[in-house]
Amino acid sequence: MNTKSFAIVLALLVPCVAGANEEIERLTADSNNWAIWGGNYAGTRYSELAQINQSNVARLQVAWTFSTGVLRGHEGGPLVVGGTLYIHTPFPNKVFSINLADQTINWSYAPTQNVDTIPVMCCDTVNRGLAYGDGKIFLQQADTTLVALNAQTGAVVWTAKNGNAAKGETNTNAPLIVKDKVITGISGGEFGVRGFVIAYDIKTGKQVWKAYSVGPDADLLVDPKKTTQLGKPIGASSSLSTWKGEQWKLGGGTTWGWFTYDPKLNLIYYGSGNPGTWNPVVRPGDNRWSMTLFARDADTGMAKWVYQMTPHDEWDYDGVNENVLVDLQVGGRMHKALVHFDRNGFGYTLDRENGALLVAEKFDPAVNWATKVDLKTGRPQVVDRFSTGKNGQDVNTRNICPAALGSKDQQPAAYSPRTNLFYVPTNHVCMDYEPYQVEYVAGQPYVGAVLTMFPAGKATGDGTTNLGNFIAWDAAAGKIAWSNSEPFSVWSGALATAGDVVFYGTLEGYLKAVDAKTGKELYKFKTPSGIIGNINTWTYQGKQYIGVLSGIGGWAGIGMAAGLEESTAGLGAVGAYRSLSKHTQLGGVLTVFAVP
Amino acid sequence: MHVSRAFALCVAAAALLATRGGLAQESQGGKPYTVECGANPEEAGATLCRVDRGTYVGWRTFHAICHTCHGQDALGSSFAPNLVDRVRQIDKPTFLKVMHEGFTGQMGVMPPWIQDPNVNKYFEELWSYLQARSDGVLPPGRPERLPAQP
Repeated sequence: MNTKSFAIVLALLVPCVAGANEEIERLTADSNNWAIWGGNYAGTRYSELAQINQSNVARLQVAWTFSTGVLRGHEGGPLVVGGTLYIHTPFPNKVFSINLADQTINWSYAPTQNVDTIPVMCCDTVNRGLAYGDGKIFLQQADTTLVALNAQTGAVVWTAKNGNAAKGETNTNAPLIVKDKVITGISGGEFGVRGFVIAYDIKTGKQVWKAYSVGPDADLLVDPKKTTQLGKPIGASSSLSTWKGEQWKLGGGTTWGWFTYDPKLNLIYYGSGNPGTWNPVVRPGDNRWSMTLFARDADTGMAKWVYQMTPHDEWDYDGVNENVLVDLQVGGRMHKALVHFDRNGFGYTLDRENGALLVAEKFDPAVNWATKVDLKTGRPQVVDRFSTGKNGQDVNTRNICPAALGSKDQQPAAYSPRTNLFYVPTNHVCMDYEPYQVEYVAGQPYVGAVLTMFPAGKATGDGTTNLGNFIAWDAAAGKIAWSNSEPFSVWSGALATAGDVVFYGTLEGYLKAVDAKTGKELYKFKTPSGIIGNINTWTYQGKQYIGVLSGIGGWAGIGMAAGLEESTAGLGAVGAYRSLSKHTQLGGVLTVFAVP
Repeated sequence: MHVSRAFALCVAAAALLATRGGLAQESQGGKPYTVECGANPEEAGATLCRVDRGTYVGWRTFHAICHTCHGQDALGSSFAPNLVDRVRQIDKPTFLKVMHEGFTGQMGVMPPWIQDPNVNKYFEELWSYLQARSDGVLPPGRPERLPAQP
């Protein structure tokens, strides 16, 4: 066949390969749906719906509720495609398809999972949600089984296993559908697990590519000459050369956070977690590519660029938080940008095409482990006093901000193109951290640090006791626009809408609506349990709904606030109300709101 | 009567020896811990407690591993119980049995810690720390070490 006919045939074939892509782009462009965890591939968690807006949100009421039948931490949120709502639960990871006409259950899926999975999940038995594509609903189970379900019937179409709980490998992430592939990650950074991202064929469940975060070049899916960091090729053995001996085999870099995608650039974006043991003394070197943002080609998995935010981590500042893809004007130029609120307390703005670093500023003024990030080298300027490695093993490094759970953990932010602001659920917590020597045994925790956490006010000495803030952030300037103090960490995913209303949930269980421009509170309602889920929105028969999962848990649910029941050093009379258990107990309920 | 009183004394003595536990422990009044609290010279209005080595090691092991489920200062979480309360309800043999075999609770599953070398060396020390907490003698917070006994 000649070149011209070949080109025509190729052009006809490309749409077939791109199938699921275009379907998801079409479904997410329709604001009546909520077809993907982040509302769209860019992860903006923004809806064009404006039926609920500043003038009527004060009249929001509960429209219907649904109990999942499961307790413990409910992260993630519902998907809505057409007239059907899909919801998932924490372990044992049930899935329900709900008919929005009458809230009856079309079908349910209840996996059988070995309860031995539970003790190797470090931070509660959460699941961050489902993916929809190619007529299927995808669930990433805790026991590392990825399941493809027929979206109409709930029948299992295929399964694939990513890992082994006996080695400490589990899953908590939501998968991502890109073209003809399902992308997922792995958890276990506190069990010495070596992290990776893996792509499966959407129709058959066969593995297509797998990319590790640490180790030999062949495992990383990098090109030493073409993969860049801040514009420079990373070179050969970019990871191995930054580890001592064989420590990389327990080198972490797990991938339990959120995935986003740019269809035009065909790049997937995600971040990697801590470099295994929390004791930095035993793993000298930058520990690449832990704590790193990756941009990978969706077809081949090859890394186009990387950026390591916290080289040689000494605080457990996992780099797995979401990467929101927004075109922004920074320094007088339009960029295809990427915005990332890291555990380490810095709000990063990068160019998502070439990985250039544009902005890196603290999104909580209390952050103290580094003075700033050098924009030329990309490296944080670490403060010796807060370096747990420099102070050494068996030495208590005190008053480090943020605490290990970061200025923001998994709870995803939202962006409004109307205000050009990001709405960020944050933690305001600091810590003492003492590294010490531990042994590795497969399937056992491999941590090696003693941790205590407390309100940032104790470290800053400013007398405040709040454990969280909900902020609005200008990602071009790197500045906080406004900040709402919250008694507890804000652990829910935010939602922004064209109604100029922003939603978030609190650990006491309040669903709150605030003015997108000023942050003024416009509505609140106490749901059945603390909220660590994501607030999503959709329409049914022309009416807009807001839905959120309640169910206290996650790392926030370890009740760290319980330690404040008695007066502790420097806090004065804090009193019993500080304890989270005074406000909420376990639950598992989807609450759906509308303006009547 | 004479015999049973002697027997009772023997039992009491045996109990005292039992609670003295391993080499790492000191005791006060038959308890597996020594705790001395006073004003914190560095922070006005705050308390500073000093504990024996075993209790300190117990605090440390707890806040390296156990706290991720059982919460800071053993005060519990949304999925694992408050041990300050729970430990009052069980005796030491039961505690050791649970550490050996694991435990399936209403909400969560605890692994058998006998399998973890970073924990299984410190069962006595964890018991000391939890007893000190549940007896109300050691408040929340990080303790310091008492000077070593001569």
